[in-house]
Amino acid sequence: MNAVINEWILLLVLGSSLLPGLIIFGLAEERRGLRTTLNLFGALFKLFLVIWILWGVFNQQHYETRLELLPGLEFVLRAGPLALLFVSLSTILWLVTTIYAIGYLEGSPHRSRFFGFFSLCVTATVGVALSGNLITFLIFYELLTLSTYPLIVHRGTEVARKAGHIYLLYTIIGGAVLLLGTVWLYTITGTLEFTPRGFLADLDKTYHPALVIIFFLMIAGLGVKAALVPLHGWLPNAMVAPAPVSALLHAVAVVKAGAFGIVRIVYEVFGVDFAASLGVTRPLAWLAAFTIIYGSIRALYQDDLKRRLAFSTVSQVSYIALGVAIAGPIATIGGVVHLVHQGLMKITLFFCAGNLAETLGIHKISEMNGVGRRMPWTMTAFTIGAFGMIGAPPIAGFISKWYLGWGALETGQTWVLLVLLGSSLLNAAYFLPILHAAWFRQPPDKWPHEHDFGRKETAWALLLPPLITAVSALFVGLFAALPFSPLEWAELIAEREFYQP
Amino acid sequence: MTGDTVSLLMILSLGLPLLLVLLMGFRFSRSLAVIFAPWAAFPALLLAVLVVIQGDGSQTIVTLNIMLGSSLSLDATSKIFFLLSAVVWALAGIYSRYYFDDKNSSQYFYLFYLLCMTGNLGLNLAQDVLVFLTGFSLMGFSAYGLIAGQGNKNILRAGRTYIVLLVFGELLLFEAILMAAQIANSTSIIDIRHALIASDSHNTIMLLLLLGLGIKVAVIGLHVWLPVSMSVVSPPVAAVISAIIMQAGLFGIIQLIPLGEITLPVTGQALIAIGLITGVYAVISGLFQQRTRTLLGYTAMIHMGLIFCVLGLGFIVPDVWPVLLPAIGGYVLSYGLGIAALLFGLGIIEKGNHRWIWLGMLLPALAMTNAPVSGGFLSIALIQQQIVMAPAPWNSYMPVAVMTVNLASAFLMARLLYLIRPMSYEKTITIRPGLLWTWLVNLVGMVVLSWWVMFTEQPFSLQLAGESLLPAVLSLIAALLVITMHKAIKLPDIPQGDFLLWLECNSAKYLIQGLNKFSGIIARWQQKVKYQGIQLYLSIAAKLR
Amino acid sequence: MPVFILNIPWAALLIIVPLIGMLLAFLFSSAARWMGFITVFLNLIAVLGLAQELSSNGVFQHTVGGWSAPLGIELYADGLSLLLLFTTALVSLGVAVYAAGYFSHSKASSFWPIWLMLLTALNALFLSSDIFNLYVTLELLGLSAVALTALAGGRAALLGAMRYLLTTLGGSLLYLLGVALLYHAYDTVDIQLLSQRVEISPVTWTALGLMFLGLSLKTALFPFHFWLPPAHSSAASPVSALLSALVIKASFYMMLRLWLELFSDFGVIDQVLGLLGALAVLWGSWQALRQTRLKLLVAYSTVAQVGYLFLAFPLAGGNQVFAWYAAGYLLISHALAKSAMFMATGNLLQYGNHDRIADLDRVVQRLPITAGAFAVAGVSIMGLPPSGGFIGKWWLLESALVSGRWDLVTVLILGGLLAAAYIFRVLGYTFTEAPVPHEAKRVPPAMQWIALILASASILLGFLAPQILPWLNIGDALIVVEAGS
Repeated sequence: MNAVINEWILLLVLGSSLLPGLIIFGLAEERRGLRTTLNLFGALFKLFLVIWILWGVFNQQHYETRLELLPGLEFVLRAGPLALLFVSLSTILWLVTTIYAIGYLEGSPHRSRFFGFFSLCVTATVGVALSGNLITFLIFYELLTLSTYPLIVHRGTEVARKAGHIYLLYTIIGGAVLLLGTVWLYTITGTLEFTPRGFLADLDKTYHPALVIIFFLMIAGLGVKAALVPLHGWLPNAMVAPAPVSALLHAVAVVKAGAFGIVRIVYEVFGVDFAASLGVTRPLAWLAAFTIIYGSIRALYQDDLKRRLAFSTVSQVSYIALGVAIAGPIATIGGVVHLVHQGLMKITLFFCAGNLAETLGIHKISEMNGVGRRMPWTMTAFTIGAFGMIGAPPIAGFISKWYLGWGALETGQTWVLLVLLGSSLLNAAYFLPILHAAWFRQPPDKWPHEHDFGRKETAWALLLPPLITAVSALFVGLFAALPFSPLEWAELIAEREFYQP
Repeated sequence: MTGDTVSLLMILSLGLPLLLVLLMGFRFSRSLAVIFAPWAAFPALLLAVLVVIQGDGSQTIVTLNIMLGSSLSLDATSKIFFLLSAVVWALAGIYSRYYFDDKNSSQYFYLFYLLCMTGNLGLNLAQDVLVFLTGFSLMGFSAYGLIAGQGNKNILRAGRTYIVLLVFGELLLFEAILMAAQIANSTSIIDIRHALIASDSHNTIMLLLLLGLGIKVAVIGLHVWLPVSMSVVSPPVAAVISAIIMQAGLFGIIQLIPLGEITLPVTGQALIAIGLITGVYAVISGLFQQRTRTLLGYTAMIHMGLIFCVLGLGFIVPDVWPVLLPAIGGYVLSYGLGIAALLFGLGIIEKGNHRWIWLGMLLPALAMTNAPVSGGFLSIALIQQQIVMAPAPWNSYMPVAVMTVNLASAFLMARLLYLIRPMSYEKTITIRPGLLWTWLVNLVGMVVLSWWVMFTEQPFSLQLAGESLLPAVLSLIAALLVITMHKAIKLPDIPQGDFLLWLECNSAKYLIQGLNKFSGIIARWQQKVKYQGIQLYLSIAAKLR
Repeated sequence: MPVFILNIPWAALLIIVPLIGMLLAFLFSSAARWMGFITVFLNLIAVLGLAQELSSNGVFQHTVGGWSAPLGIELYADGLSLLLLFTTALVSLGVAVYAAGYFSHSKASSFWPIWLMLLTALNALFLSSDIFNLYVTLELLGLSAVALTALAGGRAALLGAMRYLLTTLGGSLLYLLGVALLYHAYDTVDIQLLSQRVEISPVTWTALGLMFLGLSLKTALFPFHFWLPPAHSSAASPVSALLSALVIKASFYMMLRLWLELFSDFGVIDQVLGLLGALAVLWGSWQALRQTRLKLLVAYSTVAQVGYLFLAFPLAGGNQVFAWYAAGYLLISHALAKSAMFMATGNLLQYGNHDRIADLDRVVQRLPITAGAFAVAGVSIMGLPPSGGFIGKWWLLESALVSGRWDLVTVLILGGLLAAAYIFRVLGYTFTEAPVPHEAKRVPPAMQWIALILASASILLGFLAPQILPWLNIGDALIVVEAGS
């Protein structure tokens, strides 16, 4: 019985968002109650399953599903610690974002379509997380591209269509490059199974040049989604999407799938030691560092709030790649845990941006004067998120930065400290003026486009999600040492998967 | 009185302000929170008094499972700083309650007041660098709220200067602490101190620490935020800045750098030089100030300069550090309460001057010149005693230098007293008794606490007192000189802040211009390369059609 | 398994059932639709029966009327035939459902008989075991296809049909010449006998050249694709679906069959086919991208997709059976996806009375199922996972990399990207509002759903490779018989 559950529960995890998604497609627009119920039921059920699995993995249970896909190639889902970290993040944030989206899209058209693709998008993300080999990863990675496209063009405007095209231009090419790398690797090794510490180290030396090319093909393919410069161009354009989509795109789904893929490739395909001996981690680290600084500098010059946040994402997500590329155990912890930390902080910021747009019609930073007095809770959440991005203790971002810096020192790559310094400085330079304007400037006589929510500053469904995520961002930093915190989990990953003999 | 009480008070002194912050968020509890906010420092005050009576609180350690595992405690050094903080926070809280008329602005004030206090008390209690950093950041950033929340037109400039230096300071401190912690492989402050002694890279780390923390202490070059901030904020905030926040930087230096265990003659001499230059610079800038609070900012700089000299001495002759450390503690307490009293008094005078208030101001003014009205008198005597231990050139320069700084402080005090002379203000409104009482408590506290602490730390000797009288007398003469001089010559008014501020503003302007250009280049490049590519793709069909 | 199932002559039924259906539909034109339904349904059952038979008995060979080779008519079925028959049966079912809603009564009475005739020809072609029978069925197929094309009426359709007719006749003629040469040289038209006798000689080369030229013409391999876009785009939508999904596959099947059985050691030709295939992929995709009319876009997409099939020829040279698997898999998934795509296009055409891509006007909201069908079919056409197209492309890519054919790797990647570009160009416009809103007509749900179901089937194929491959391997259909063995 248990064995059967262990084999099928992972498919159930996928199904818990896929099925509601498919049903929602068929629902009429006005079936609001049923749609909401389905959404929330799916999200809660997934959460339940994930907790179940977490508990199981904690008790040494093994969860794996294998289906034959091609002769010699299987469709594999496996719940390892790394997978679970990402799955938990997606599941929790999906729940929160669903609540937010319900509030945000209240009264707007085409909600069935929206929530349908939304669920598909989460299914793909969870699939990316649970993939046990590269081809499964690839399948979900492309599925993610496909399911996010309708969300980006959701508004149906000409701008949205163009943004969608730019998004596809990048991601489809990225996907093709990744596919090429994957097939090439398969022809060399005959296996694509993710293995702790990689499966390439024993290959003959003659393959090494090919492996270097494959590494960069894969990184280029994943770098598109992870928004590594110069592959980041789609991200700021994708801002035309509704706020919940941006939130999900930036915090969990697309960008993270790319970063997560880089983690997988470096650790479980190449093996970090082998990658370092090939000499490929160093260029990756440089690229990540450049992206971190470049993204921040570009962010400085955006007046559109969401665009600024988008460039901030470009910068922040590369922390993960940087942590991976430093190739040390402590930096690994920093990089992996940033996967969660950045997610919590960035989703908070996007929720808040959405709240401002939805409640007061504010889209630009120059319109944000005094908004802290009008919407104190929203701006409190925003403030926590922003300080987390800067890396102020005790918010989550600080912990990531601490481990990244520590890891860099440990491996003697002191230049990383300068990158962290520069990044924090720039982060401060583009977040603090926002906070100043919001809290200390005088509010205007009239907001651009104000909705009336009575005595509340905005609707509950809009207010609670950012507060929840902000408090989470604060708490995962403040209580980083507690068991089951993301940090502890990241340490477990570093131990179990990467550096155990 | 048990360890449990102390633990409870430690938790309470951090927890109560945070709870009140939370309560401020809700409409129904907001007014309640504002009512309780002025009293939020009292658990800390009680704790400080208990620990000082008890002699040493270091046996009580509260372990908290936050961050990467932390603990709180009060050792011999931190208890003095904690006492100073607790007293000034309590006074500032109550004083503000009577000072602000506008309900809305007092809400804002108390929000940042509570946050800033939590940060400050937290960093005093911290036994590990993460809590220290957290406290430091919380204090620093919420102090921006205190400065910028005052609604003055000069705020923007003051706030910008402050925040730029604040961010730089935070980041340098982060890097320094990270490097130190990595070397120590621990986050405990004690471990880090030990690790720094042996480490190869302690020079880099200490330089970063001194820079990061020196911004708070406002040593020359890093001081530009202080005069501008002091001039625009209200008296309670100014008191918090000059009596608490500056001290926090000093506290960090003393805690993190293994003073007394490491001999670094060059660093020591550099610190002494910096301290002296700070003092001289501050007195020159201060003397020309018309604004009383800016003048007090420079006074604060003078005292910090003096303490920097003492720190330098600690680097050169580590053996005397055990004597210097309590002297610094006593000095800081005396100075902090003194400057707070001056600022609170100033706040009253601005609302309505009375001759007897002016007379009351004489007391803290004298304390600032280390006259025998407060424990600072004894501290300076102790320091003077140890200064002769310095190596060759310094053993003869230092006493003179310290004397000079002392005199300089006297000049400024004289100038201050001249500026606030009763006829220069019009009597306007009646003063709220609350303000007056707070001020009086402050005066009494300054005298009692500083003497008491000095006596518990150091046996009183008449000879020591006698030796210290000379500087005090000299100071008095100097002060009289200044006051008479004022009647004869009218001093020019130099702009608020000083040339370094001008330099900083302009360099920031150039930096921003440079960045603008850089981004312009990038944007153009992007336009050319990337968007054309995309446009090409998008318009393929259209073009070929 | 009950024995009686194996005793039914399924292969014969596959020809007889549609034939009878055709006759009945012709006679009772008022009930033609029902005749058609029953026929395609029975056809599917017959294919499944044949599959059962093949799986238990292996390769099927049956001599009609007791005349054995080389003289008689012989039915032959192995894994490859089965694949084509099965594809045909599936698409036929879909087209039947679609056509039922599409045609007005007057058109329907001529559509159904011709279409069942076409089905008969297809089935017979896939079951033929000699090159002359192949010719006959091919001719029959071509003529019925031309008739169907002309059915749409109107100037464009007639012009297209005319061009198609000339091409198909020319192609058949060339093929027939080849057959004649081979018969003359080796004295047989039976493929198996030929495979034992055939040897490398100028005559065989000429025959090979003629036959492949003729068949390339009919398969619309670049540069012989000129007739396809006008014909496919001007035909009625169900007809377009049939033409793209099945008819061109028949001649491809013949090339594949002939190559595997007779000409595999002739060399050069496979490289030429590969080159043309690569050019077809690039040119077809590029042209598709340029189109402003949806139906033409889909038609050019067929040109490109056919190119992929030919890429298998050079790649399979190094005994890479995966390349043939890829061709087989791409064939079936393209058939499903492309028929779905033409149906979706037909729906859009009927809905807005135009097929200008830029004026699709929010069909994603107004015809969600059709838009969904187009998108889902597009996934398979682009070769994105998970879909049958992806599996096919994976194998092609794998064998290209193993044999170091970087040129083909580039073509494969570029082709996928171009496909994505033209598919998403359409999808992008389905979200936006057209400047001039048009009057919308109703599209029956059945016509929408059947497109979606076919498209979904092409996706489902992506998960069924391990189940389908054993069927394909019956009789080692794709293993090249080494010369002389």
